Amino acid sequence: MTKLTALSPELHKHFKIDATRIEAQGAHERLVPVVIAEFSKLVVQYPVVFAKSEESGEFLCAAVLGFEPKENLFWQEGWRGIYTPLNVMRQPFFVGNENGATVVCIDEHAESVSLDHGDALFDDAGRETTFLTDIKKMLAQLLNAEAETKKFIRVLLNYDLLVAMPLEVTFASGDARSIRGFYTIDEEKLNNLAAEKLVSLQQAKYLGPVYMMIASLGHFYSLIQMKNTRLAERAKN
Amino acid sequence: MSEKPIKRIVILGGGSAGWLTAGVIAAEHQCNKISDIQITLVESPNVATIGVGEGTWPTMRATLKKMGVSETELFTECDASFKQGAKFAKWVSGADDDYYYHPLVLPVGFHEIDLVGPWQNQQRTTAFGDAVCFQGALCEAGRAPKLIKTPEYDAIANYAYHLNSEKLGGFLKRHCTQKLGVNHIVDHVERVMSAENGDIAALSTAQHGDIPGDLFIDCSGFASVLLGGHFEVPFQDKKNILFNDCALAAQVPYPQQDYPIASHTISTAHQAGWIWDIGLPTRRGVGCVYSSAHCGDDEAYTSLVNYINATPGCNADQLTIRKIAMKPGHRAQFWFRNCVAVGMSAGFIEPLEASALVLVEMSAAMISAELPANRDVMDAVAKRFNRRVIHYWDTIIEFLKLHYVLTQRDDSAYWRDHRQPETAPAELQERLHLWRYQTPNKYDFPLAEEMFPAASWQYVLYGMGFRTSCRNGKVDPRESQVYFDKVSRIKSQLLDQLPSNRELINKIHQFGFQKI
Repeated sequence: MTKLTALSPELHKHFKIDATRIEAQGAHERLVPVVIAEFSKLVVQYPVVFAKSEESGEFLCAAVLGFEPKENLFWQEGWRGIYTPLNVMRQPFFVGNENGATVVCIDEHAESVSLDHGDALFDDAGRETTFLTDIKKMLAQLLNAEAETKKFIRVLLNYDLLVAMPLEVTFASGDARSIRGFYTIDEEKLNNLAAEKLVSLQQAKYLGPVYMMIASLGHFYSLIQMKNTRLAERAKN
Repeated sequence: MSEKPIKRIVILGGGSAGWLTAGVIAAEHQCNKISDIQITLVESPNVATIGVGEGTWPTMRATLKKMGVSETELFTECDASFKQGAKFAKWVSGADDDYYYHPLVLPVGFHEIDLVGPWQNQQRTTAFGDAVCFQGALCEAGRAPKLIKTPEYDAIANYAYHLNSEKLGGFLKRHCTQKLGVNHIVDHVERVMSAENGDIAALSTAQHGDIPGDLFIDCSGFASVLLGGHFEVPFQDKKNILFNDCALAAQVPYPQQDYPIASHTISTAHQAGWIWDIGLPTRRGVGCVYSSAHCGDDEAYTSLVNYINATPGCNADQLTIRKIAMKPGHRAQFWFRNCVAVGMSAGFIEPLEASALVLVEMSAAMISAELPANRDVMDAVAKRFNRRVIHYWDTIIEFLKLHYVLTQRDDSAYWRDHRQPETAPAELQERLHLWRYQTPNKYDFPLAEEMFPAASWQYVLYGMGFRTSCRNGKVDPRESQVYFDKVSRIKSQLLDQLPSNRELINKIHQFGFQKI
């Protein structure tokens, strides 16, 4: 169970973070929310799509890691991807809201949280360590990048450029899946977009992310390949 | 007769009927762009619109979507809530545990298999509605029919709306005038100007002079200014079939802000009528419908007060209770010369199955689709319109009467009178005779667009405890069991997945629905 608590020197003085266990926290994530600032690193390996938040129904950008609930095909006793998404790397920290103010929270029950090894969050005097300062910087960057990504999505929705992407996948084993809930760029609408809208996408520097998302869809084939390998291994054992 | 093209449409009346009709026609004929159709809605500044019931049919979703209305805005601006059907309590025996559902989802496999016979043989202990449909269980559990992730107007379980009908009128007005290019004139109509051929030429107003038109749509409500008043098309009273002619209405606040919102209409029978209970996010609308021939105002008042006070935390003493007189019946025709009536100007019937707004939608859709090219062909269109709409009225009246004729209640003259065969239309008596040996099916209701599908008749008929001696051996029990099992499976899946009605409505207010 996750237990989110606002980070404080009083409560978390002796907490340490085991960097080798951070990625493990994404071991059971099928989808990881991502931000446009990391698209260029993501699209080397992951399909990047739009999906809806369970909580609010709002669109977000996400890297697809698997087909089944809780399936991360990039996790095999370690993260097999070249690049790990920021939303995995920021674990076990979260940005929370306390009486309207932004606060850093920690999942006290996370695997990477330890009392005896890893990087300390506070020194003996209760001052935050450079390790924690760096984490806070990363969280602040992520927060900005998330706002920028929301804006990106809002513009695309206003231009009616999103389209549902139903997937019918058949694995080598013969197993088939109908996958719903992914959306991507509507290429036809993009190609017919009015010139002034296209220019505004260009000026906002959104054309890059748009085409990266389209190109990233090819990675669904490598994802199927990874799934086939996993199914074959499971059949052997 | 002339080939004068029909270009100018004048709608009289600014209630939900007027604005819905304006919106349906304006959207289809693109009056906000270069269009040869011009729509003007004239409404009087001081005629209060009356809210004709706050329930819709699922058709409203398609109607609003076509008009380009945002469903999120409908929820935030009209206090809308989800309606997944109606629960009829105390209609069969009057006992406390007597109820059945008329859900909006069709019986499972409705177009593949007739489950009435198998249900009678295999599922005796389960009510018909619950055996063949999962939706009653969602209503009992207070669940919403979809997720916040589900796109606007899409459903997981078919749904309609409960809404504040006064707000709906204002909301549609803004949409029609700002987005759909409908002209709006607020003025008194002082006189109806006739053309030489007897058509209406114009409406003469106090401040805006004469408003000429080629087609006049009468949405003036009970007053029926054009069809009833000007043309004197006779009114056909239906009180001999459906006795209710009065209602006492109240707005009941919730005991707490986060009180559950029922996702269905609750219709509870009393000694001489029934009580509606419609949950909006902000309040409940509760009203007592009764027959003045069978029940005094005081008696009805007591029934209503007792009903309201039965909810802990609700006290009827603090509420304003408004009396509404109802005149069940309709005009002999609806489209006469160049005038067509939509809404209460055409007719009114008790809101037992929320038929008022759906009839407006269906009338508006037909006027729009068949908008006569010129005066010459208008009479032919009028004839088709009248034929269809009279059929709708006949079926509504028969369908509502079905709720009464099968009652086993014996506690008042009201219910006994409803059972008298001579108070039911001959067609209904004939159907009931037939349904003793066969189930309601598509041959009973041959139109592509009926008011109530055969499924609705089945839900009420078997909900009321009717039995049909189906020919045996038609369906292999193993085959029908597959369908009954499917209902149970979907039921538990959806009970797992779907949020409460209140929870989803709060989320709509916070985040809104996505369009895709």
